[in-house]
Amino acid sequence: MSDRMNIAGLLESEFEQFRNTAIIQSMKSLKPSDKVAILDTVMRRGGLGGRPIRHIPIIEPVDPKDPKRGCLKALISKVDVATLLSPPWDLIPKDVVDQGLIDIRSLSEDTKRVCRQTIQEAFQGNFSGKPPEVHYKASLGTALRLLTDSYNFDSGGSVKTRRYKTIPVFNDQSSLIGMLSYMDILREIKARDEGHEPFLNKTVKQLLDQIGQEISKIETIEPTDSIFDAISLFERVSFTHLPVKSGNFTVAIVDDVLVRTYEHPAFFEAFSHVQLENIASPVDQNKNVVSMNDPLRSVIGKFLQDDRPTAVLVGELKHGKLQMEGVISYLDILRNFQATFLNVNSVQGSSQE
Amino acid sequence: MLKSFPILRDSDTLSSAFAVFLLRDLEEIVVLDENDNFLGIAKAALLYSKMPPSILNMPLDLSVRSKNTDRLSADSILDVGRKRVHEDLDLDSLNHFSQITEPLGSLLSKVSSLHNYYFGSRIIPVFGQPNLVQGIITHREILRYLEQDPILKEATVADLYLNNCLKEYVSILSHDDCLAVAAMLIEYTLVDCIAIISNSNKLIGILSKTWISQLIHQNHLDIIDLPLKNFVKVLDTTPKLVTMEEPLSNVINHLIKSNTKILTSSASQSKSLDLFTITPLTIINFFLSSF
Repeated sequence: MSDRMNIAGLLESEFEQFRNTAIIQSMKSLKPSDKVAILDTVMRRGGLGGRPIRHIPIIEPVDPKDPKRGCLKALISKVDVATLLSPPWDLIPKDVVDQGLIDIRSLSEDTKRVCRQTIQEAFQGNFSGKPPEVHYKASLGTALRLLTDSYNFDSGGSVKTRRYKTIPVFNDQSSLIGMLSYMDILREIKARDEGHEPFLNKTVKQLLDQIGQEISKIETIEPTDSIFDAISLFERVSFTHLPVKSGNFTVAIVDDVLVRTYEHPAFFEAFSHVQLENIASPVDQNKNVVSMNDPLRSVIGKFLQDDRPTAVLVGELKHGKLQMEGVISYLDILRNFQATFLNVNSVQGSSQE
Repeated sequence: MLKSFPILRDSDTLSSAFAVFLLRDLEEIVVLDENDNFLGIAKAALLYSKMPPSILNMPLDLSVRSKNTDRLSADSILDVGRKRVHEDLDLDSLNHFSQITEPLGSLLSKVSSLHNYYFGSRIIPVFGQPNLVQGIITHREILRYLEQDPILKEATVADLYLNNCLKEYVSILSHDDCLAVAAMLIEYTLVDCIAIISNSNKLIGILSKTWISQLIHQNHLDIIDLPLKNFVKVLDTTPKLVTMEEPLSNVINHLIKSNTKILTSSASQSKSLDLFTITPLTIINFFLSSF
């Protein structure tokens, strides 16, 4: 792949597979005036095969009969929704309910209030800045830059930054024709060997050396820390994932989606005692751990798994214990790819972003 | 009390499972492997959620579909239906079951402590030998067994309330709320069913978790913004509403003989109307708390 290849080419193969199915035909771009309940149901069940959708574009249509053509007003992610809502009931530990720590009545009333709100009312911060979008003939470099850039938004009066893992793609008529995610880019990078074997064969160690990661600067959290300790840390450092360390060993990794899912006023008391070891993803060679000598090809393979980790731990796993030597996020891969092929300076940032 | 019971094999197709659930009007079925070892309990709600909604549950104006949608739905049904139980159906591999020799008192305590109304299965497999299911006990069968007990014969619904046994809170929605609001409440609030009221606050129907699961499907997201009144007409599931003075024996009799939901109401601290369902488990818990 080179910078001559554009998104149209990249998307062509994606769209051909789905062009005649209901999934693309019924792919919803919701309106700012749609209810949160519609947004939530579409996000939970509207993807291919009934899978969740992680980002939904909110478009103010020019013509009500053509809801996909218009002005992009916001992009709502799974994290945004998780932050707004209480945890789904199947994530609530049974003992929390048995102990009567949840007031079902007030939870029910609060949920009714939220799900009847419009998307614009409930996600005001998402509407405070211009979200990224890309034209279908734009270069791959443009798309990569949009996926790696950070964007300002208003969070209750203070300005915060965020990244988007998926961006909407529009055609000449300002109609939404698809969504391009970092997963699509990684999938293409991995699938198209020709021309970039040196990149795919690069080792994890070479990548970490190039981005100048210092193990001592990686923020970690302990398994006995609470969900709210993690939320507090995520707020402070703007990371999306944290290794969970017990003594000298890393035992798990926790991401912001999961802890935001548990964050809700109705559950503050119920979850104040829940420790991260009960919810974090344990280290697993098949899922979230790579070795220093692994090629980037296999690291990308980890990111493309069904549960889509956005970061993997680096180190040697022995008897369920990991001596962590680094962390690689999907952003490290995208940025290094930019630097290698698109003559963009590699940004030396934290791999926890 | 021990019932003969329908079973599924892990090698059965989801179509077969669907037929058994639907035609026998079951909520849960025991799943065994080819050597009759117990694997878990399959739930109708989960299976139904994988299939497109039944045309019979759609509002009339939406039940006539385009050829394209019909084809998609049929293809989707066939694709899902060909899968095997062990491939695509998460089973409740519960940790609460009973041995054939277990005293009844112990079984009842277990039901009370483990069968929280929000979680777990409503049937209890009974094992003769390790991992070999000899029969099942349902909450309804326990209720039938306890029916003649003097405590239950003399009590009224108010006693359930006074003993803090009315815990199955029922969320109330307006018939103008859309289907997605009901789906969201079921997903996030631990309620098992939702009462639907008209503009004049009249109770006009009740929607169960299983029923809502049937309607939410990726190929039919065009119906999620429809008002619930469209579906209540299809459902015809007016629940039985009982007062606090109702003798419990009447409620038990109704629960044993009918699948209709029984609701009762009490004024909450905020003076708004609170609705609760009365299930066999509610009465078992009351019996244990009074015994």
